[in-house]
Amino acid sequence: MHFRKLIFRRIIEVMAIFFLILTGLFLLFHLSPGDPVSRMVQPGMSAEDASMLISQLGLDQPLWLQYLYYVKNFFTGNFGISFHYGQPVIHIIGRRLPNTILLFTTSVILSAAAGVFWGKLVAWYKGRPIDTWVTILALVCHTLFLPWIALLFIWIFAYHVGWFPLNGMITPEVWINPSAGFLTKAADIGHHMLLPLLTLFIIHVGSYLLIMRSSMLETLKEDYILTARAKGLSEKRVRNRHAAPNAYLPVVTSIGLSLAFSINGGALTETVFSWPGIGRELIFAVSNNDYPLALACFLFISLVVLVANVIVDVLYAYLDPRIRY
Amino acid sequence: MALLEVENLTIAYKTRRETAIAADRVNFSLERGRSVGIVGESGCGKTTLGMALLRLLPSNGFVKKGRVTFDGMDLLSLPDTRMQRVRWKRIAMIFQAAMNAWNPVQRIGDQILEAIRTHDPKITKAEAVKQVEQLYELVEIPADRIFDFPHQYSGGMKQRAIIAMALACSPDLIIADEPTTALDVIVQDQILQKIKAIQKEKNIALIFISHDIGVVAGVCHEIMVMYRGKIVEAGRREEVFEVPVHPYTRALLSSYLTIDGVFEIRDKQSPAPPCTPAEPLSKELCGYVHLCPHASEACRSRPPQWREITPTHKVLCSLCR
Repeated sequence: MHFRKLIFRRIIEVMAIFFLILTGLFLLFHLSPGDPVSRMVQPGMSAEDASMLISQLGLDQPLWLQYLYYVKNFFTGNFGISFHYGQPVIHIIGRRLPNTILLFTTSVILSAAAGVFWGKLVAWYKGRPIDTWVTILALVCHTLFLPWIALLFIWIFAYHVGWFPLNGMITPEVWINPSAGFLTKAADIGHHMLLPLLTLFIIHVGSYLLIMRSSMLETLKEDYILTARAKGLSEKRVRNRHAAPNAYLPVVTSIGLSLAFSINGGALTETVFSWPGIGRELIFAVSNNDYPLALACFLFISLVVLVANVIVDVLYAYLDPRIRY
Repeated sequence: MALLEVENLTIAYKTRRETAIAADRVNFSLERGRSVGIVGESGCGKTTLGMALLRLLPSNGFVKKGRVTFDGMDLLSLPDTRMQRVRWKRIAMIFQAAMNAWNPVQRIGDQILEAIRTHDPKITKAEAVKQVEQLYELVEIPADRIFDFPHQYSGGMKQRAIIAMALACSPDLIIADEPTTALDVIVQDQILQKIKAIQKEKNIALIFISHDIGVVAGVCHEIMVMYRGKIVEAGRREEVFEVPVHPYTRALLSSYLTIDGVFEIRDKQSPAPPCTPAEPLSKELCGYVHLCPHASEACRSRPPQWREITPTHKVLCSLCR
């Protein structure tokens, strides 16, 4: 019961935060230099036509009225037409967002799982060679520069060895073929996804490993670990049933915190690998003054981060009864 | 042969700078159904001693020499898997910090069940739960609280639940390490009475570790006073409590607050509160020589010898006849 109330409260909080972001973005876009109309106005257009366009767009209205329209448009899913694509922005987002979620959810799950597993193990064998070497490796991974490692992978595995496609998410020939089933298409995406996934995995696994390791080392000093040993449990059971479940908690927190950063890094990854995701679209929209698209990208990225944080909170409450009860 | 025989047990901790002796040539034996209290100030080695019996010393601690024989088994040379079967099934422990002795993310009942089912894999869950219910009745916690989480218990309840868990596998020996230190005096008294009654009823041997000589005197048949890693005085409760011989024991007793709220000075010459001096411990000489008001030239030059006051009362002091 308490659990539901907690989650409910978090959702309310997140909605309030999202509303603040919504408002903040509106203000930022109005403060930012550059005139959205100038892009649409053709050089040959008369001043009359230009001012008509401005009033059509509602840009001559007072700011508060524009804001109300903006909020209304958001809740009705109307994000306007992309300047560049000439299509409704919501359609573009609808195509790009799932690609980003696919790539990042997979990479977060894989790197967190591997980091937790190895962190747990090396903490258990603290001071032995396996601990030293894995910890050094994790530190190296943690400090690698993402675009560099991404380009390096493309250069080696895609360009020289040729195991993976150079970029993109699909091979058009495979998808055009009418006989291609779901599995063939999924395998094609998987093949394209491996290199960006590997890049993100290497960048993130180190930090999860280090957090899990130090959290596990703290946990192993706790009195209840002594209790578990005194009870005559096997060492494996002490490690996996008593130490690890308590050590997971900081890792879960850090997943929540790192999500925002991983989406940032994601824009880089998506750009380097030409992955048709929302991060790459955002960079494109910003550099092309495509205001409606950029605004929608910002909003949806923040929405994804907020939703992911709610999920992390649920997970945390599930793992730690002190929160739940 | 006694249930537990500790012979010449010397325990050390390896640190960066040195190897520090935490317990030095400790000897004692304990019969089934008897209880011995180990009293001493913080850092005197009493907890280390208890941990060493279960082979649960921290990773830098090790037994330097000596033997621990429990029910005919040489505990110190037992293979790990056999030692795991001795733990809790034969020797259980009541921990110093009951607050933190429970895994916070598991239900108390599940943790007790785990102890029962680890040592008796054939028992069904329903039977094991029934056992836990009986244990809860014994320690007077309502049965509907069994499957609560640790943070839902009060401090006293956690401590009583620890006692319930210690009894779960009907051990022959319980090591109680400061079981009541963190509790208020009323709860403390309840818990002590409980431990005493259960120990008597189930005929369990008990090692009771505490810094509070009054508490120990209330629970134990025998008392050992420990100072800087050495047992300095050992005897039956009445002997040590009524006729303390070692100057340290007397100092310890004189700093013990009586019911009237005044210090009862038993030895007017050693009112100094016991504390561990900073000087390094000379391995052989009496550890109390720096603070002892009676210390003579002999104390500073010769190691103290064990003297028998009565057949059951011994003291490690050069001054005592």
